[in-house]
Amino acid sequence: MVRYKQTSEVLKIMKNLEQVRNIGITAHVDHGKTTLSDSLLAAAGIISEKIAGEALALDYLDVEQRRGITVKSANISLYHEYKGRPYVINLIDTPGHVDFSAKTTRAMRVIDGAILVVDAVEGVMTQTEMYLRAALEERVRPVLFINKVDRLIKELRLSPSEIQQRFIQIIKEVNQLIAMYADKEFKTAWQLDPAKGQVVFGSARDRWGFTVPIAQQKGFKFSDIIAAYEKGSEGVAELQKMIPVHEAVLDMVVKFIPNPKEAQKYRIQKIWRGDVNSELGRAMINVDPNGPLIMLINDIRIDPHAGLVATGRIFSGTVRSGEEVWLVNTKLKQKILQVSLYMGPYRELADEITAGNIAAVLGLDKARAGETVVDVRYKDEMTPFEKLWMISEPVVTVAVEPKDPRELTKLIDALHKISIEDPSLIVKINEETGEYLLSGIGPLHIEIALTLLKENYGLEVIASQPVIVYRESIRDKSQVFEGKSPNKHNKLYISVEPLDEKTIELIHEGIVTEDMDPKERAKILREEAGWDSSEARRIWAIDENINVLVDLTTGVQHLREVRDTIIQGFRLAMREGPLAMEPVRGVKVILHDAIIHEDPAHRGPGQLFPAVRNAIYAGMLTARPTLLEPIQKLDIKVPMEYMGSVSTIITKKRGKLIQVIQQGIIARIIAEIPVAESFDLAEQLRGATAGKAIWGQEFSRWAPVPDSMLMDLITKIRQRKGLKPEPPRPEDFIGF
Amino acid sequence: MLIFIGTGLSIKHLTIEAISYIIRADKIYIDTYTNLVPDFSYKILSSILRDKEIVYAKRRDLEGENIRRIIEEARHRDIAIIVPGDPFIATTHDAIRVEALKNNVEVVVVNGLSIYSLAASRTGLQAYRFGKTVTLVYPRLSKPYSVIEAIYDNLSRDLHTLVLLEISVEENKYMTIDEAVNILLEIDDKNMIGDTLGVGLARIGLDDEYIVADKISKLPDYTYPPPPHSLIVIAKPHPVELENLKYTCGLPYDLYVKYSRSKSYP
Repeated sequence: MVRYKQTSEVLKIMKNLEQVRNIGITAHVDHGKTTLSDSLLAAAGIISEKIAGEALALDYLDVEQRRGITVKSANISLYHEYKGRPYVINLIDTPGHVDFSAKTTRAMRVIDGAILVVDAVEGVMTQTEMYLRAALEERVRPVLFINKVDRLIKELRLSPSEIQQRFIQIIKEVNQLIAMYADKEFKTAWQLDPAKGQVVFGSARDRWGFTVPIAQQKGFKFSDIIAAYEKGSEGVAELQKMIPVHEAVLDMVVKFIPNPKEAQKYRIQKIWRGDVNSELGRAMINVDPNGPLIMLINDIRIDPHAGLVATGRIFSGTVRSGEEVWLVNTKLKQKILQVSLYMGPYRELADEITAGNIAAVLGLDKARAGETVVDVRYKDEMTPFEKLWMISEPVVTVAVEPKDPRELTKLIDALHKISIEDPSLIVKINEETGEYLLSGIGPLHIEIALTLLKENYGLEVIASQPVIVYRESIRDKSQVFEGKSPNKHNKLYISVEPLDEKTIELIHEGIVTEDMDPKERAKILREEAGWDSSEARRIWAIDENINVLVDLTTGVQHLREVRDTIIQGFRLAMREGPLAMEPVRGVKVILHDAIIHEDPAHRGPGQLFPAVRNAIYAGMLTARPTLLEPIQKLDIKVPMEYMGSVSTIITKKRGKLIQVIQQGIIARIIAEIPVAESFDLAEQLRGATAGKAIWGQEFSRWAPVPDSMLMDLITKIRQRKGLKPEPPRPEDFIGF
Repeated sequence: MLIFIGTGLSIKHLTIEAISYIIRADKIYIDTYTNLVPDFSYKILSSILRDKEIVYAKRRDLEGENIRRIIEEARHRDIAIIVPGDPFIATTHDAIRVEALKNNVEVVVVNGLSIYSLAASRTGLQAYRFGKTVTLVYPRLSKPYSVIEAIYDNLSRDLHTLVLLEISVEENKYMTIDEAVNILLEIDDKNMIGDTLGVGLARIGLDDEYIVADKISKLPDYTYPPPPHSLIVIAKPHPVELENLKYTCGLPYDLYVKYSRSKSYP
């Protein structure tokens, strides 16, 4: 088979979308996703002439594959001929762990079909079901590969009829799941029929596989396969030659997975929230190469030489190097420096790549996975594929260090990379202890990140107990306090009060920001959150944890020159509150009056920072201060009969049910629980439902901890930070 | 008793009064952060400091909570605080004095020579003609606009400006004349400073002091001994002041000639 290709040849095929397929492989752990990808790459991976010339060896890809290249590439392009026609098949990497996070969803959005791999011995497992559900929810059409059939023959020594029974059982279960989770119009249409060739039976490791039509066409029976195994390795080699796995699988893909043109017709309305009748919507439905550029970035990787590589699917238009594009979520214009296509696992330069295809681009170094890239001219009209990521607040933190101290540099590098690849992971250095801190949206999120470090970077790490980040806030308005500088020559008169919910929402959603036009901001706050107009016009600062500094002074001398110092002092005070040195959230700080020293040398940061902090802390401590804890939202699906046990677990964990929806035999439970209670949630849910519960979780909101727990919690946090157990009193910040 | 003792700008400036109070004191705080007296050394004073409790005080020792502690100490013993220059010219220690008096603790002030006095006497600029003094600090969160405004204000009223330069002993940062001129020129929105006359004062009062007058923009061209430095922005000089500038501060001849005749300034 000819697999050596010129880039130009592949590009030509890519222009005819009927000859393109975008697919993923999904499987329960150890069912053979990697083995199948590797077999396909070795047998059908495109080798560019350039690389072939350098390597000369036919088994070049074999060698690469042993180094685990399939793990490292965001996409692998395969070449397949079906009925004499050439096809380019993009095999896009999907996450190894499916959890209904944004990451899984966006991987599903860029593919039109999925090869579901099921181990013939183990059958349909929880992750099989989760993947299938995730795929169907994004209208990704599934086909089935029943793997490890050799184990049925060699280990279980099943008879042909027993093997057939097992196949029927697996196909039946998968079809039931399709009927359960697919949208109405696909419930029947996407049922898998082995007689049509929609199921491949085989062994990815031994590299053989067949469909019913192939068996009929080549005229062999299942007993022939058993006979081949009886002959040993020689027999297996014959099988590989007679019914190579890649042929069966890729035939099935070409035949049953829709091409981008067919797929985008019915998928856009499901995966995109914008108006499908708009110009942009129509361009995507028609996969118009001359339409406005729209690309969904599903993967960001750091290449040691090229830097940040963004891979994604072009839904409309044509991506060209040198063009300026708009990043919808980041709200930034950037220039595409290089466009490439995937030749096998490698990137090769191209001038342009058209709609319906997968492309890798360089130059978008501010883009993160999930970003929507659009033609600059449409920057105000484009609805992104994903909402802003601001909602995922990092609330759980662990300190990590390598088991082998010599690997520290490697760890720092890996942490940096995974935090770019998954923007909801945040890496920081604790300046005092020198520890590396990794924060995520929940304990499970952190667990997955640690697994990634091990699997993708070969790093064994020691992680501390996960620590939850709280927020400090207040529930009352304080009187005005006098904050003095250490030299007593500067005095600030400050009060604090809680921000109302509406204002918090406006800031959280980015509608009200620090750097917007002050008049516009005042108008929004007045009209939507009922602010007094004199206060709304005099906002000095809004910090990242949603606190606002308002200046209500009149005619204070030298205030202009110390304004920035006071603002900086405010930000610092908000970073570590008085109760437990956790970040402050939702507080309005009002500066009423100030006395400022005549001479700049006596009103520097060293004098003003403490003055600001003392007054704010005294105010907060007298305004019914409390801690806010992160609450996460759970979306759980279980068979009806387990509903009772699930709701018991939720209630025991200080959680509450928000909504229960019945979907056939499945109950969908929307609930909320404090992140602090979620550490063994996975275990408990699995235990109580015989592993039948599947769920997703996301950050929901901040809520005050119950008063009965408050003092204990404060003491605990303070002790962990090496502070004295009792929080300070207001008197500690006023007077001297 | 709480005794504030000014050292002057050099150890040579210690007065007999200062020495006698140092001898009398039970405990001595030496302010090490508001300013720098480069030739001040324990060694020279060792004969009178011997056996005394000495605290080399940092900012936190003389501010905030610690003020109360010092005052309590001074209630029954003689506590001296040695301060560079004249004790209350910089307002740093005012809070201690006020607090002590409020608490009925006796306060003694021993004056020392100050830059205020030396700036006029060493240059020959008339003390009557100095306007508001300013301290030029490094631009941090905001630029020191109030400094330039004070200079403009003084110039408009025909008054000189003594510009003290930031000294941050704790950060080991001492602004030089060179740096100061650059900062001033940068914030000089009205473009008035560059051609105005100025005096650079380096290590004034010390053995290696260096004083020079020129256009302000030219002052960085001279080589100065290390800080402390300060600067004077000169309003249109009186004829006698002009002579002084030439003979005591080395004002270049062409400028001297120019301003001897010219009615306009600069």
